[in-house]
Amino acid sequence: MDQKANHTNGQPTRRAFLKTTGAAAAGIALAGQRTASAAAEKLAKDGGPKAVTVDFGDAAKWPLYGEKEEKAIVELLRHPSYDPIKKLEDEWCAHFGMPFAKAHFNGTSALASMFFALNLPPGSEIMVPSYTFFATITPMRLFGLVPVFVDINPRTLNFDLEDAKKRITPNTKAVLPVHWIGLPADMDLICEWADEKGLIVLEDSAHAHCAKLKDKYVGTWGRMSIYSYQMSKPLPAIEGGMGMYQNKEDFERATAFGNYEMPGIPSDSPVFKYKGSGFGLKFRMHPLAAELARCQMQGLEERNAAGARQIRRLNDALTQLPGLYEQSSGRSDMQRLYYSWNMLFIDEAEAGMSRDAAVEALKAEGVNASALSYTLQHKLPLYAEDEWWHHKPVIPELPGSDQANATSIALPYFTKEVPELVDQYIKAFEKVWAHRGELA
Amino acid sequence: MKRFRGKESRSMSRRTFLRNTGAAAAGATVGGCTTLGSSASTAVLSREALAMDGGAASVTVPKETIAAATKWPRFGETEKQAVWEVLDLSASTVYRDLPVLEQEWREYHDVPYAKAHYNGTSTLTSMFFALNLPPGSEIMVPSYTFFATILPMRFFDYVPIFIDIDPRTACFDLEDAAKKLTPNTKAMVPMHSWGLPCNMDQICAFAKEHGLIVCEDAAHAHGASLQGKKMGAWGDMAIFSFQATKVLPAIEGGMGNYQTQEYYERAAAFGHYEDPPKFPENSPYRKYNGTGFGQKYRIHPIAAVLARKQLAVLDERNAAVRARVRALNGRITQLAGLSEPYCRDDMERVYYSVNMLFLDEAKAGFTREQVLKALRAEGVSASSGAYPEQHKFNIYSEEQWWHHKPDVPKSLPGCEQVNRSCIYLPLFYEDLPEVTEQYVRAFEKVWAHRKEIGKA
Repeated sequence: MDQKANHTNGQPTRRAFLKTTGAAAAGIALAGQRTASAAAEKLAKDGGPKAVTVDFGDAAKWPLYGEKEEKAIVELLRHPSYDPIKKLEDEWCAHFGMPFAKAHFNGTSALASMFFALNLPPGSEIMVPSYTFFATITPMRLFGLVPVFVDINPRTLNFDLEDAKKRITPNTKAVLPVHWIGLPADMDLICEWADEKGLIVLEDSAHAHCAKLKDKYVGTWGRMSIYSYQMSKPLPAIEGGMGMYQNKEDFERATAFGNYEMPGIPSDSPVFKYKGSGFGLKFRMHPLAAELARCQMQGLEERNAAGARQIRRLNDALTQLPGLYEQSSGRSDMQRLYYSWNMLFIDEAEAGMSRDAAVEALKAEGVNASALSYTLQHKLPLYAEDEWWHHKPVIPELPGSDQANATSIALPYFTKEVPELVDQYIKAFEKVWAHRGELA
Repeated sequence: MKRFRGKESRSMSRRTFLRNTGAAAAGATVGGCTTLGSSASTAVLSREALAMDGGAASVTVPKETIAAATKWPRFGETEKQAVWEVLDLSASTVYRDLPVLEQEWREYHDVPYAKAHYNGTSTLTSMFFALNLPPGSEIMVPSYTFFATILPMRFFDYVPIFIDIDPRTACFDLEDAAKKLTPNTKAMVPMHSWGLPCNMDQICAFAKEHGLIVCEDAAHAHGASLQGKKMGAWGDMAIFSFQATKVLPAIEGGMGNYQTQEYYERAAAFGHYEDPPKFPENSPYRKYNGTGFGQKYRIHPIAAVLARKQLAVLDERNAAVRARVRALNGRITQLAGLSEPYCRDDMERVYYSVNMLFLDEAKAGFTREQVLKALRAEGVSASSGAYPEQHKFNIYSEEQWWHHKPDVPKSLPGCEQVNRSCIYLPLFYEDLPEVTEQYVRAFEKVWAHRKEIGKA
C-alpha cells in the first residue's frame, strides 16, 4: 500500500492521518476555511445556490470522431474493401508486441471465438466475475462450458483471487478476469496462482485498451484476451472486437470459428480442412469499424493518460472526505485508464450519511452523480435454468459484488479538459459533506 | 415491371419455337428483329477472324468504363452524408436508425415483424434458435448455398438434409425434397439463388401438406417477388444479407422477417440482450433481459444507415439492372446451347452479383472452356466458377459436430450440372448500350466460329 502514495500524490498518507487522528479534527486541520465556508452555505436541495454552475455541455462526449475518421470513412465508401481489417490486426499486434490478433465483429464474438479456441471438454468450468457484461460468460454455453461465478473486491470491482481459491473444483480449467472500467486486475498474482493450479488464464480487456500492470499491457498476460470496440469503449469503433493470442493454435481456432475463408491460416493447420464452411458462424468485422478503430488507435494512450490525470485531480480532493473512496487497488505499478465512469464508494457509517442522501444532495448541487448498481450475472434467470447448460452453474452468494452495488457512486468520466467543472464538483462534494450531520 | 416479364416470356416462347424448328432455320425466320438472328450476319461474322486468332476484339469500350459500370457496391453523397451524421451521434442516439430500418423493412415486405442483425449468418443463427425444434430435427436445405444457410444449425442440434437444385433454375428442387422427406423433417430453407425466386407457392403447399415450417434464405433476392408477393414474405421466417456484394449492400449486415410474435421474440432475444424488456408482458422471453442467449448480434449503426439509403433506391436499381440483363440475354440466349435460368411469368426476379447463363456443350458444339477463352479474347468479362456444394465440405462428414451425422449424398446431379455449365457475365449498374451491342456481337461472332473452336 505504500506504493499508492506515489500514484496518488501523497493522498493515502494524508488519508492515514485523517483516519488516525479522527475525521472531524483532521477535516478542520486540513480543509480549514473551505469546510467552514462550505458549511455556512445552504445546500441547493434546501434552496441554496448550486455549487455547479458551469454548463456540463459535452464534457463527457464520446466517442470523439473528427476529420481523420471522416476522411477514412469516405475513402472506404468510395472504394469498399476488407483490407482495413488486416491492417488493424497487424497494427494491433505491433502495438502490443503480440504474435497473433484477430478482429471480430464485436467483443461478444471475440469472446465466443476464444471459448471455441479453448477446445475444452464439455463440462469444463471457467471462473469469471459475476459483476460483468453477459458476454464474458454466456457464450460459454455454446461449447458446453460452465461458468464458476467469482466475487469481486468491492473496492476494485475486479476479480477476487481469494474468493476464486475457495471456488476451484476439479473441473475448473480456466480463469477469466475482467479489467473493470480500465483498472487492471492483479494479473501477476492471478497468473501465479493459475500456473500453480494448471489453469488457463484468459483476459477480458473490453474496458482496458492499453492499461498496464508492471509496465506490461493488460491483454498480454493471459493466453488469450479480448477487446471490445463498442462505441462507449476507450477505443470506439461503434461496434467491433479484437482477440489476442499467444499461441498459433489458439489464433487459428479462434479465427476459423467465425471466418470460413480461414484468413492467415496456413494449409498445414488442423483447422484448414474446414475452409469454405468454417464452424457455423461469421464474425468478420465491419471494415468501416476497422477503419474507425485504426484512426482511434492514434493518440489512444495520450487520451487515456489525460483523462486519468484529470480524474486524479478530482479524486485526490474527493477522497479526503470521510467515508468516500475511489475504485483503486492501491498499486503504483498499475497504469490504469478510465472508461465511462469515475467510480466512487461511500462507507455510510464513516461518512455519517446514507448513499441516497449524499447522491440526492449532490444531484441538487448539479453533480451528475448516480447510485449505480451493475447487473450481477449470477442473478439472471438464464444461469439458474438447467436447460441451457452442460450442468447447472452454481449460483453463489457474492457479498463483495453486493457491497459494490450498495456503495458505489458513479460520476461521469470527463473526456475533455474541464478544470472549472472539476473545481465545482469538488466544491459540491465538500459542501454536501460539510452538511452531512444534517443529511444523516 | 410487366414489360420485362413480357419480354422474357416472348423470348421463352421464341426459344421453344427455336428448339422445335431447329436453330438454323429459326435464325433465318425469327431473327429478323435482331441483328444476330440473320443468317447474313452470321455469315459475315464467320469470315471475321476471332480476336484470339488475331482479329479485332468485339468489345472496344475501354476497360475502365466497364469497370466503373460494373462496380459494386455503389455508395454516393447520400451515404456519405448519412454516415457522417452517425459519427456525430452519442451513445444515447447512435442506435436510432435501427428501429427505423426495421420499420421500413416491414413495410416494404408487408410482414408483421423484422429484426436487424449483424450479418446474414447471425440472422440465420437467430432464425434456427427461433425454430425451437427438438434436437435431431432435420431441415431441408439446398447444398448449393453459402455455409450459413446450413452450418449454424449444429448449435441447436439440428441436422441438414441436402436437397438438390433444379439445373434449369439453380433453385431448390421440390421433387428431390419430396423424395428425401423423413419423419424427422421439420422445416425447409429454400434459397433464391442469384435473385431468382424459388417456387414458393409450390414449396409452401408441399410444406403445409407435410406439416413443415418454411424458412426462406433471401440473401440474394432483395426485392424479388412471386405473384406480387415479395421474397421473404412467403415463409414463416426469412433472412437477408446486406454484405457488400449483395443486392442491398451495407458492407456487413442482415435482416430477419418473422410472421409470428413467438418467432420474432426468440430470434431477437438470441442476440439482443436489451430486447426482452420491449416484449409484451406475457412474453416468455422477457425474463432473459440482460443476457439474451449468449450472442450479440446488433447491426453496426453505420451499416443500418447504409441499408436505409440503399433500400430507398432498391426497386429502381433492380429494375434498371433487370432491363440491361434482358436487353442482353434476350438476344444471346437465341444462340444454340446458350440459355439462362428459367424465370416464371409470375416472377419478378432480381440479379445478384452475376448474370448467370448456362451452356449446353453438346448443343453448342464446343466446350465451356473453349467459349470462355474466345469470349475473353473478344473483350467480354466472362467467367465460370463452381458455387459451393456444401455437402462436399469436411465438416458435414464428421460425426463430432452433429447430433447425428448428416446424410451426405454421393452426388447431386442438379448442382453438378449448374456448376459444370454456368457462365457468369457481369451486371451493369450504368447504362452502356454500346457495351450491350458489343457483347452481343462478341457472342455472335464466337458462335459463328463454333465449329472451328469446337475442333481445336
